[in-house]
Amino acid sequence: MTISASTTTKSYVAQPTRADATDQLLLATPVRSQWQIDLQRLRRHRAAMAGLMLLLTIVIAACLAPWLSPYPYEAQNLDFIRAAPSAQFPLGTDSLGRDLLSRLLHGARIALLTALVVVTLEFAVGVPLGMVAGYYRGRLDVAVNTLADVVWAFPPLVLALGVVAAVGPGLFNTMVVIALVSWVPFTRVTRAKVLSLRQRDFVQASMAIGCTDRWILRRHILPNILTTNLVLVTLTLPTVLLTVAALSFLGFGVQPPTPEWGAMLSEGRPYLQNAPWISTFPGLAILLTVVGFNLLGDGVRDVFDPKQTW
Amino acid sequence: MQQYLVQRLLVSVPVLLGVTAIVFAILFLTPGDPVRTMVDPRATEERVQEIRVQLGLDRPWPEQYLRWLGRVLRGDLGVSITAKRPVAQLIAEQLPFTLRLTLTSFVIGTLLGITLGVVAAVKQSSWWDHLITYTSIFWFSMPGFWLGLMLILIFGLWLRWTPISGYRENGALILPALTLALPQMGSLARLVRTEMLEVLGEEYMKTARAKGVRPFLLFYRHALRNAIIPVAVLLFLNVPWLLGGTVVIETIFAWPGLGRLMYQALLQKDFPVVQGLLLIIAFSTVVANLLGDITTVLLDPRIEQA
Repeated sequence: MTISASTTTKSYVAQPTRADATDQLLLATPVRSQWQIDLQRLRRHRAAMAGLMLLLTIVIAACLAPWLSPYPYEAQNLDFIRAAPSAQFPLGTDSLGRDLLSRLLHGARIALLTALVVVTLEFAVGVPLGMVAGYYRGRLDVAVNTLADVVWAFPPLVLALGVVAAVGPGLFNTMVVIALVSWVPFTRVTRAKVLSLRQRDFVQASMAIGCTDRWILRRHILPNILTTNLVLVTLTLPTVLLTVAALSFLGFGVQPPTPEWGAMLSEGRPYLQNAPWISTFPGLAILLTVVGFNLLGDGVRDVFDPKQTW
Repeated sequence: MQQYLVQRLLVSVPVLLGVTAIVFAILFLTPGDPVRTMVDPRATEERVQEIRVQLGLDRPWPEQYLRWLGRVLRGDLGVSITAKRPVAQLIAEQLPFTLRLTLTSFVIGTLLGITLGVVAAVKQSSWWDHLITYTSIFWFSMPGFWLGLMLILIFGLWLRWTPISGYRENGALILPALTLALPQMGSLARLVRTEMLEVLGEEYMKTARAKGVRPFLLFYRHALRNAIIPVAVLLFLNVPWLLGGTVVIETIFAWPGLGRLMYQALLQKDFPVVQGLLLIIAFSTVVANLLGDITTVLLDPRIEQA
């Protein structure tokens, strides 16, 4: 029978000890976890809070899109083709007479959802690879590193373009392909962190008492790499958003009539002179969302990972 | 140094092999028969089979890969399906335009970025610092395609100061170069600021100040020289992003170059050209990374060549 770390600790704690009296005293004063302290510091980070406010506004707009939109996003009004912003159409209309504000609001859903899905996929591919490479080291590490170097030799946008051109465009393909070409930072960051964690006493002790690798990876390594990866997630979201938009702008990502910001911007390109609003507003929406993520990401990094720069 | 170089080069070999494997594999991702998409839809089955044998596409794929790799190593990147000309020749023709664009934007972005970063760090927490720090976030959050369109709209269509596309007219380079340079400027300014602040906090800076070194020398020789090392590395690491950015920017401004060649090849599903470009771009990334590592070792005598 293998003795796991938790059962031993539990039986130890259950014994009444002399330290109990001191513990009682300490418990009387409010104890804050590291997590609470970090959150408190994040709340005082002015730039991060500004970014968070901006993002919350966009998230709320995305959630309430069907109720906030003055018109259905696909409704064409052929009497008002490329109409300038007015009281009737606050941000104007596009080439098919569709209300831009309604399309922008629905576009926020697509932008946020695709970014979240892609980052989750990157996390799911990158983090396990990094954990395994950093923990087992040796040949496995070399193999993972080489694979990461190979994928990272291509600028994500360019490789994604090449692959999407081959497999075909569309929302699903775009998300999968972008994730497959840009998981590398998650692997690198996780691997570096695991390499140093591996040398720490609590991991060495677990190895010494014969815990299985699975157990150590899940109970000791995984919880300790989460904050570093949280920082990376916030900083990756804006990059992903820009890549999706760029791909759609070039016509290889999300296809019209889906109200994707990059695709909408591209539809307005031929009318830049006479109807500049068609391209201007979707771009502004992308910019604001990305600025929001970057402001928040900076704050999250300052608070959780002050020594890290990437 | 020599040993380090050799070691570093050896590590690049499997990476480059992997790169060729990915580029080769892209062809197999296309649904349908590659020969069918190439020939006249009315061609008979015998004719299609004939072409397949002629191109070696009837062979098992490891053999196809090795043959293809052999040709690539000899500098033969295949023939463009639409232009019916060697891919290497097409790339060689467009390369000077891309170099002109990327180098110009590189110079603009680097000079502006370093200057702004140094000013922000030297005047830390001042009005200037806040202005620079916040506008840099703004600049590097900018989607390149939108920035390009806005510059066209403002300077090309409204003010009529610059041509809006093409490459022949005077000043046609300005807008595309700025579109590539401004986001770079933003990220660089931030990095330079952070690095400078770190160096300014070092003990040897205090010593230099105590000795009465003139402020200009203090910042230039003592601080910037040390802060610039990670910056130099970043400049090399930015090469692939710059090349990736050209696909969008060259397309918007109708600037001839590798990026636009890539876009057109993608539209026409001209996969030999796409593959050739991917190879060139990935190869230059690997070289840039190598140069970045070497620069670190050369600039920072504290690093032991492990």
